[in-house]
Amino acid sequence: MATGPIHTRPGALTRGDLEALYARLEKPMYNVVYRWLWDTEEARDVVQETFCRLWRARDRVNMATIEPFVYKIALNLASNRRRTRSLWRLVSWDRAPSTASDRIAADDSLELSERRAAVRRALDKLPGRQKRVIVLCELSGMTYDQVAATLGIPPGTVASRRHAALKKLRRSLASLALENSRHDDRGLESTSL
Amino acid sequence: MTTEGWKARVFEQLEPPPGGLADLRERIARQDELGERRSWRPTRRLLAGIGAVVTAAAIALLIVATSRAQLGSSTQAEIPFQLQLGAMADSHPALVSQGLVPDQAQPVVIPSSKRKAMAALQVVLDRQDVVFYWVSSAPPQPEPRRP
Repeated sequence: MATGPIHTRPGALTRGDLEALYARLEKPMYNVVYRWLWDTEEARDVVQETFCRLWRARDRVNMATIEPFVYKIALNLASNRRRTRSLWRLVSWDRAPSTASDRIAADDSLELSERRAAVRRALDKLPGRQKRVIVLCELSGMTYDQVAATLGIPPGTVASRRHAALKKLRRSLASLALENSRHDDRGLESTSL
Repeated sequence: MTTEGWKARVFEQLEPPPGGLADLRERIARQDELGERRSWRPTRRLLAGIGAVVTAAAIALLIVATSRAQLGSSTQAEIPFQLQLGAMADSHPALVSQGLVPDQAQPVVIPSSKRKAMAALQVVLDRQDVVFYWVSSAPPQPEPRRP
């Protein structure tokens, strides 16, 4: 299996390059996509589909900008899935099938579940363009320049949107911390963030 | 709590489900197999090219058909425009042969190339030995200047 900075090698993407890239990007990409879909299986499926599409486009790939290219595919797929799911919920008479995130994992404590639910609500409240920036900056491991290339915006805009998003998140989650500290007064465990 | 600590809790790195690479290999193998099965089918580009050629041929046929129809109608226009000379219904052949009296069906032919520039109208006169046609023409168009 090929290792190393594959993005600097000239020529088309080889199978070994693809697998090396997958090994490196699977976890961060899964985390980025999960914050879009909030579903384990769907996020995994989108990551797999992203790499399948990358393989199909292997002769046209610019190796120098492969990471932004791959994340662009992933975000587009995730957005489409989310939109399809919203449409399904709109037209379906029955309640939409519950996703994995709807259920509390058996090994998750109540505190962890509540914290994750609060983070999810806070992230979903962000405007789309701020959410894209903050999720890529904090979870993908890419530089500002790479995030800018992924989203097609200047690096300065990445910085300003990231700053604005962090400020909003702090505010949203601080109110939760305040509520939890009230629970502390009543002798319950705190969920400080 | 520090900013980094806060961010680490908010953006915790979750572990993806196991077996991702094996599943990806299977997907790609299926995808490649499907791609080979479809290789005999004409590509989208080839189909688009054929479609463009067929469309161009259809447009060319339409232009030719329309041109012939117009040509036919212009031939129609060259049929002499017969004017009724009701007043000369009983003109003597001797007068006609001397050119003093026009034939009953004296045509005024305006060539199709001049149709837009000329018009003919019979002017009714009290005299019966004269047939008067008013032919009007538009001023000649100047020759286009050569560069």
